[in-house]
Amino acid sequence: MNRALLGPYPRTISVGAVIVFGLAFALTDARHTTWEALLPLFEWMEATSPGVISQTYGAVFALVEAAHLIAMALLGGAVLVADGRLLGLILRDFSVSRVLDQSHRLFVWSLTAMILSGVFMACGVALKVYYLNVFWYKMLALVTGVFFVFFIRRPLLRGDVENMNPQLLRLVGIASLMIWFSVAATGRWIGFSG
Amino acid sequence: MEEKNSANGNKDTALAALLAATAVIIGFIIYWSDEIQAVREMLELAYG
Repeated sequence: MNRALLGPYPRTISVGAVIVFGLAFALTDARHTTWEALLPLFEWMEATSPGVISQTYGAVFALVEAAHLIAMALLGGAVLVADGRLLGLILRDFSVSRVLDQSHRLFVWSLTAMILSGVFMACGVALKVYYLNVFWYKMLALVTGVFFVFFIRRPLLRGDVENMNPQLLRLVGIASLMIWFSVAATGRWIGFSG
Repeated sequence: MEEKNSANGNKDTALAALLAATAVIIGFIIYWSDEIQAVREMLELAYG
């Protein structure tokens, strides 16, 4: 179906379309209109049970934040191991596919924990983060990271990795590190804002 | 025929990865250099 519609390069065309759509969204008024339309959602988030609990009980918020930071540390570790191997910097005695498969499992669990705890925390400070530019950059980086891992890196590395162009593998490793660095840095920036 | 499809699929995945990785790296450089420039301007305003 995809092949019939998009020819022999459906994935490349999809990635190109996502980039063009992202640029159009960022450079037009659509970004501001969407932001305004999302305000009721953030007001509702503060009124939900997680929102009320985290505003009322500081200790609960602190515990969830600790879980969030641990999940982020685990995710960072999984990313560093996988991309470090792709760049040929660490674990060179082990095959690329073995290291990537093992680290991917940890990545998925820590990502799930990070998203669940992150949503809980965001409910408690929904209106604060709504007005923070850096929160939206973090969301953009996070969505890009998830898309990059599941739509780009995994399918690429499911192939014959040992015979793949090493420059391409390095480029993918560097891009992945840059995305997750941005997720972590903007996340800490939210913590120090407002 | 199947071999050709598989080769096209691999090429497609590699091209998509190249395009996405390049876009990410360019976006990263633009975003962080913009932020660093903003901090430098604020420091200059504060301390001259």
